[in-house]
Amino acid sequence: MDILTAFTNKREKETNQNMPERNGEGMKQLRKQKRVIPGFGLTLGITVSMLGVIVLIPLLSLIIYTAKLSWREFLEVVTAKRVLYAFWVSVSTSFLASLINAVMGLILAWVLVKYEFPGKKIMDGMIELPFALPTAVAGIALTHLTTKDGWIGGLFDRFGIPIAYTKAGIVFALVFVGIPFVVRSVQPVLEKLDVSYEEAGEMIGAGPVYTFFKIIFPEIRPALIGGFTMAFARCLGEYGSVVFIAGNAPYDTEIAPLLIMSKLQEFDYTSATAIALVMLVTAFVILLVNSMIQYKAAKKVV
Amino acid sequence: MSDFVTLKNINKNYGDYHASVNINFNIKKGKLVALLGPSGSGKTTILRMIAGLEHPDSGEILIDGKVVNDLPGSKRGIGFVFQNYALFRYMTVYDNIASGLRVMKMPKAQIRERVSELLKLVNLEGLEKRYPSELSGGQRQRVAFARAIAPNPQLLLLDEPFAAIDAKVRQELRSWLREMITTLGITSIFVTHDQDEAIEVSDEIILTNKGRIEQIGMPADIYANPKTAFTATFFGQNSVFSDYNGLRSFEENRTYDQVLIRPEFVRIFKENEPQQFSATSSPGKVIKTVFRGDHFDITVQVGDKVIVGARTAGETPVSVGEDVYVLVYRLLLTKGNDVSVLDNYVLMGDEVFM
Repeated sequence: MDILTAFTNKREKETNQNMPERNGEGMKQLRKQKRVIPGFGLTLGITVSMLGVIVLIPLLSLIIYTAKLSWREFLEVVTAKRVLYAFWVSVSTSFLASLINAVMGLILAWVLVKYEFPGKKIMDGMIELPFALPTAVAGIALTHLTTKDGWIGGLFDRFGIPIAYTKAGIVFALVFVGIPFVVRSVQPVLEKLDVSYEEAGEMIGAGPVYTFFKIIFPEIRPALIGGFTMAFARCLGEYGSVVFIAGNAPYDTEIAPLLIMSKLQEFDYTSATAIALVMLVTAFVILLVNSMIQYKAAKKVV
Repeated sequence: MSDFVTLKNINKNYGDYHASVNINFNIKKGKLVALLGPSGSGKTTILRMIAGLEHPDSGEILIDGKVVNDLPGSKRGIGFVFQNYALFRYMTVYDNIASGLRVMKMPKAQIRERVSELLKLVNLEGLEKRYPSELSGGQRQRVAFARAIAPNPQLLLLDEPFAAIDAKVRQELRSWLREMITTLGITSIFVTHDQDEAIEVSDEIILTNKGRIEQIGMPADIYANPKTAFTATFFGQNSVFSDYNGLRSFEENRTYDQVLIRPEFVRIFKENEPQQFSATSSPGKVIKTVFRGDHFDITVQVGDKVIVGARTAGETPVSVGEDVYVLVYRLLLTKGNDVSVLDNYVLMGDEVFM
């Protein structure tokens, strides 16, 4: 046993030496290190200008426009009852839709990765259709389906559940729009996941439920959260597919993006940008929280 | 001692590919058995069928006298160490080892006790809060080992346990594993393609080839007395010839396909060294020497044959181009899949091993 102890200690020392250093030297090294493909300066320059022109400047103009309002006016606009209700409708339906998408998307990705069946390729290809379709087209089609005369709407109408022109309709449209996000973020992770994890679960005596929730789920959780937040952020801003199905009744099915549109039509640009700014900040916070969760998860396994 | 694991007439096909053909063997309780064979020989399939991760097309698998064919792997009471360890990446070392115990619904206090006992056993005390990514290869293997034996399985299966570890640590881990399993007294089967590993670690070797079992036996026995041509060629660093003309003092008139000469049945003498059987040795010329640390592999041209022998590092070195005498003690002759031993008749009755 003495030899073994010595050997263990030695190994430990080696491991500690091999541990990556987690101090502030990183940036300095990054620049000094010779890379196989050079061009750090050039690519960073392009990245910053692209981001500036396409993302930052438009968003900045939003803030500047809003700044024409005083604090009091700004608060008045964004805390108007109708506006608050629209925010609530947007956030709650988006959250619910993304939650449904997280579950459905996970199952869909699971089926696509784990099983072989005829038509799998076609099914896989169909996932991105909601991206490709103009959202207004999707909105009209979904509305047609879910009114009392439509296939789905008719079915639910027999049980007295209306879909079109209710919050359920909004959720329906948002689920449609958000599907690809969860599927496409979970799918590659599932594909890379070694079967031996499942087998290891079985070999420690666990049943399928334990194996899935305790062993496989932690592996896909970061990707699932990523897909969920992306879908959520997208749903918050979704306009085209929702306006037709929502009915747009104030204090009921009016979403925030629609309110922005109607303010614009009334030439009330500053109010429109004020509401938009709140939406922007909300989306930013959601994405920030997401990236923090991802970072934490990644730190454990790298 | 009784039979603990029994395989009866096991067959397994993947389409046209015969992974297992009529596999029959018994493993006694408490033994450490190596499933040895080249890649694609079906050794891993056998291990996975015992574990319940694969299912045989026909035949019976018995563990402790009970047929387990229809029992899921999770209910067979088996500990399994995977080739890539399959440690749960999002669990700490502690949680990994405890996972099997939690599945059993063992009380928390008992789990804590058992895990700390195991951490001590595998020498990983103090590392229980680390994640697998923060461990070295050898440490990971020991965590995988601890996780496998945590629920006190009656049978431990290891799939290529040393394959993913660098050579130096592998050697140390071999003796460690051997010692561990002897201490625990747990019946164990491990898969390997490395003959040295199988010989060194196991009590018994099951040699597989092309889905069939070639030979079963104790390492020393299977090495010295191969029953099939495959076994003879698989073990040892053989020099292979189509005849043994030019080697002195071997009985003629044998029928055979191939002649195998192992380095341990060859002695190489320098010209000036005294030899007991000088009339039996053949003259040759050294064409290559390879330093192996404790010995030299020496390749000698004898007539039309190139024979490999060895000299210890302590003996006077020979150099390339030097004239030497080569004494061959024993030949292995293969005929079809049969093999026979042909001893040098001058030396018969003498101790042939160096």
